[in-house]
Amino acid sequence: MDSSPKHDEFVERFLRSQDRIYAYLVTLLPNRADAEDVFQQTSLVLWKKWQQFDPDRDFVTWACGIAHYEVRNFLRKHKDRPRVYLSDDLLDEMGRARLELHDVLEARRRALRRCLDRLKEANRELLERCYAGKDTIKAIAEHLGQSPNVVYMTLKRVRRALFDCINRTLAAEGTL
Amino acid sequence: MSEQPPPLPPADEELWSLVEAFVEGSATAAQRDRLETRLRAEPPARLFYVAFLDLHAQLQWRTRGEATPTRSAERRTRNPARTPRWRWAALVASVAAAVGLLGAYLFWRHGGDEGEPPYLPDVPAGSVAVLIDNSNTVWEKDTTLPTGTGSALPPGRLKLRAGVVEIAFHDGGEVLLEGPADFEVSAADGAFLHRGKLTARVPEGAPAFRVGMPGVVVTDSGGECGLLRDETGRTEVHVFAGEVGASATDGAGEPLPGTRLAEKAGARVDATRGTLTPVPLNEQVFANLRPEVRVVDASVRGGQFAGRNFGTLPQLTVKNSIADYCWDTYLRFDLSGVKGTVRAASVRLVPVKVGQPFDNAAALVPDNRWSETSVTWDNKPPSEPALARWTVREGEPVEFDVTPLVRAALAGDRRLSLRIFAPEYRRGSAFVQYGSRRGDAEARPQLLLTIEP
Repeated sequence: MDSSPKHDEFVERFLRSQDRIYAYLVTLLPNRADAEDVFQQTSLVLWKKWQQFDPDRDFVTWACGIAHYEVRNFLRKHKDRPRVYLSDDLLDEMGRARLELHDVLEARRRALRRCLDRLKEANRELLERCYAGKDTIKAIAEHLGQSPNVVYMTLKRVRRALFDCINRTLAAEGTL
Repeated sequence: MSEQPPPLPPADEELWSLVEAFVEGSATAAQRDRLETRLRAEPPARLFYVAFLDLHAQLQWRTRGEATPTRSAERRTRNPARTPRWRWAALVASVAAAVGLLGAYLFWRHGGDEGEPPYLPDVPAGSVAVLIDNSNTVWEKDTTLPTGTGSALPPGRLKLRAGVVEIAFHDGGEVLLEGPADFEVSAADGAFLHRGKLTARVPEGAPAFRVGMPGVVVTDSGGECGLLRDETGRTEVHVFAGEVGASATDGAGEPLPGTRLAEKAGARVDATRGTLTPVPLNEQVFANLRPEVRVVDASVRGGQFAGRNFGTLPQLTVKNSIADYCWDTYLRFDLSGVKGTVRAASVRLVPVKVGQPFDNAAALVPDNRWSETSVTWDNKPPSEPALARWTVREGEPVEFDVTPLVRAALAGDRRLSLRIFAPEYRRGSAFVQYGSRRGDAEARPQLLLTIEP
């Protein structure tokens, strides 16, 4: 393994930026399996291209440029899938918007931690299970003794509550 | 100092619904078009979209690498008090990130192009069977079908001059054919023996399998039988296990009203008269075609593949990841040919493709009634706690002791089923493909027995 200072910096920035790169992908590919696939491929490409990394440039912007290219590749390969995806121009637009909103999203991320702590235990568990991606909504509903529709609605309600909580938290701080 | 972020405008109900449908994967093309129209026209809608999708992404990220059990049975018994708290999520995500990074690096170093899941070849279109074993065989020059081990077989003729081959039909029927033989693969559930001898066996739960010979059609619905057609025209059916249907055929090959041949019975076919005459069971003539131990194997896959059967693939996959990438493997050993006292027994598995090294385990499956060609993630039988555990590494065969289980099986229905699985959730390329009975002979699952006569 290379142990040059530049490589070490690449590793450190990569580790610190993974969640941002993943979030960039989810903005364009909301489905978890899609985002995971492209995230893995992007990680591999970044590791192959680490020598092209310029420490003076913003790492997230560089990495998201590669991620964006991999999203395009992924959609080309899976164009026959029944799932709907954003059109090419919107992929570019939303990717750009996301990078421009970097500071807003950082503030929202900090607020999210506090809002999660304020959630009721049951709602937090439901979110966790639904987002873990290991169970279907149907299986979760069966476990909870509820209908899948109730679980869907509860998940939506909790997500909206979190979103509103983040807004309120930032407004109170004067960030928004 | 960064510029003060703009205020986040409130979203109307339509925008909420459109974005939520998109996030949940339930959006129609019309909803996508409407969402895109608004995103193109309204900067506040773009801001809302990015903020909401970022929340969605953060919630996903926080649960990446969560080490919770995946099996529904285990989930049902899980103590809610042990559910990881969100305050642990950052640590879990960090660990997952480090593991993912290492995995990505190792994968890159190994020059892999496998990606997240182990990608599997589909069963070739038009194939109806797989030629499982082709060692020490001699084929006639005018054999038209492929004869390599693991070859997918479309309908056609196999002409075997000498040796024994095993053929697994896609519907579950299994044939051991001994040369000299002229054998026609007809369909996923049927074949025709022009000359030679074979044993046919249908695992429990699989559809009936039909084998024709001149003057007779034999239907096996869950037993084991031997068929013989020699140079002189002698045509016989012998039943080793279960009951078998036998119908003489008319001059056009159409079956006449048939009869049931009982276990341990034999019958000689008079093709001219269309009759079946009882003869003593002759097991000796089929001695080469009745192995001591037989194995069936299949992998099952979760998520959107939970209803699909993968029993005809030449590899057995194990992986524990998000639903679509969860794989378990099932093995069943039929011990009906084992004679003597078993002193020791172990299972041997050969990894033929490994991503990152990771742990696998084996557990007893008490219910032996699953079928190789119909078992799926949704209907897989439950297993008991793990009885053996090992770390999978490329090129390192695995052996684990099953002596007590084999002894118990021999005292019961003489079958032993096992589940091979990954006990811990791991994202990335932590997967293994073991050789299956449809793959190379050296890599097949084996039950190694030490027997006292």
